[in-house]
Amino acid sequence: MLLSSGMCNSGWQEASLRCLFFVSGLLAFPVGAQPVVEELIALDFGTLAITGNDSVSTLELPRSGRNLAVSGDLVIVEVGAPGRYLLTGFPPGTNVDIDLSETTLTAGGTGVPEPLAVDRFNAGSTFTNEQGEAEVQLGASFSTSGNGGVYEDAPYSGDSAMRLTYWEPDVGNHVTVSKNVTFTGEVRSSLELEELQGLHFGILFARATPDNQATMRLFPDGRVNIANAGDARMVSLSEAAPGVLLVGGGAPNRDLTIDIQAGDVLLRHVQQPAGPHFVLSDLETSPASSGSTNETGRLEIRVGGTLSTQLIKTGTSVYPAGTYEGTYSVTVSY
Amino acid sequence: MNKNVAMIRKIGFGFAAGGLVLGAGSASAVDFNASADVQNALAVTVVQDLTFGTLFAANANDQGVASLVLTPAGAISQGSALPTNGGAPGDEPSFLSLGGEQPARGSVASASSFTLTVPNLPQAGLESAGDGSGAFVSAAGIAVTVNSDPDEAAFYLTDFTVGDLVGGDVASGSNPGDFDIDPNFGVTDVEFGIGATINTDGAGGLRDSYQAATYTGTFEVTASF
Repeated sequence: MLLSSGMCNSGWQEASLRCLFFVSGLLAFPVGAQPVVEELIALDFGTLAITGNDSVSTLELPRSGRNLAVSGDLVIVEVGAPGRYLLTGFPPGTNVDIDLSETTLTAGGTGVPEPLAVDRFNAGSTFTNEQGEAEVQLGASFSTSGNGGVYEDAPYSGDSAMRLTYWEPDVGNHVTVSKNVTFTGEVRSSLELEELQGLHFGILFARATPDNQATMRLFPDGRVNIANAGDARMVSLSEAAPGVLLVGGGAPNRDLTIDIQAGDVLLRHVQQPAGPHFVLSDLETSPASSGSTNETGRLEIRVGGTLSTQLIKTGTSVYPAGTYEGTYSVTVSY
Repeated sequence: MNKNVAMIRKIGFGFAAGGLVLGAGSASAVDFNASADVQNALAVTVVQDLTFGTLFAANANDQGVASLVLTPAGAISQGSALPTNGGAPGDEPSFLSLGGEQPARGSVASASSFTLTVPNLPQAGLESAGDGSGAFVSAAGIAVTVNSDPDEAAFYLTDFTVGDLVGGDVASGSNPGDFDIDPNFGVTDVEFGIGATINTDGAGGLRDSYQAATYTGTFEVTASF
């Protein structure tokens, strides 16, 4: 302050400029600076599938971001990242104790159930450098309620107060500063199922009888096996095509369960549904019953089945020309 | 005398186009469409007409019929003579190919076996007694004429054969005139050749001279399961 007084003697404008110069110079020293906590990256739990909520499931995200630990009915779809925070303006060479309050993540951050609990924070030991700065990485755990509630697919978010306690020599006591930090994550329990190619038995000639059925088995790999019996007849006039489905949005390298409709599907004439129909049975997939996603979380499923002529009451009946259609169901789950 | 003989045969049916309904969704349980298209009849498509090219034929007579054989692969050669009305070998007229011949070619869209039926007309049927003593039977062949003029000498087609397949194998069927076609694995369209024997007219009388003209006729081919 003595130096500042001397510089202000030679006129008001000049003194003001000099004073400003010295004030700036004083701010370069850490002593007396205000501590600041900057959130460089919000803690992100990544994308998870919650496959059940009858008991508590937990994801532990270490502050290193590696070796995530999962227990219960959680599947990591996309790996998250620990939070990163920059501390400035703290006393040099000082230990900073960090703790946070337990909080919850809710869909869209709206607070609507079902919430995900966030706790067991881990920031490790933090010491400021000689400039009074430090970078902190924060890990945490994330748990489901375990009460049977349903988590909708959505981005989840929440926040909590980060408290930083350190020894302030100017005050001669411990001081606590607080910073509100955010947490994010996404629940994506459902899988995308897209049809790349429809299951199509090609162009057929078919004849039904009362006593026998002609069958055409279309294997998932595209092979066809036709078995005619008596006067029942099925003739393939063009190449048949297995159904090709693509599962997307799944966790990488993860086994999925594939369930295809077990019951018969009737394929009826689009314009004359009351006429003779085909029976589609023994639907099969490749891979059968379960398959593993690739590194991008995708799995291709091929679908085949056995098409049979209908048993009619009397005589023989040549199927009317036209398109015959039916619908079958496929369920894919973790 | 030079003659051009061309034959045309066509049977066609439209194909039903396959229909698909795409089912997609973001849920893990999704309904999808299964479909099949039914077609009641096989379509025979003419790829190439049967042509015997340019022929030389001396005046016809009622003592013998001369012939030329065109194979499904397109080779033409002198065929057997058929005596009529007690004629002797050598009584038949001179009948020569001067080139330009090509067999008929057709195709059928089918991935499964089917039967191709061509006219069942053996050359022997052109003579009524079966021993060379009988009269000429014009109804026993497919007539190839100049504008269907009954007073002009005609040619008669007999002994149709199927062969030279692309995409399948052929064998004689259970009935005369039937040829069983078995498409190769993965083939959905089989192409085949049709050959025949062309015979001179044996009616005699006014029908003994040939004009320098184009002679035409038709024959039918059917495909069935």
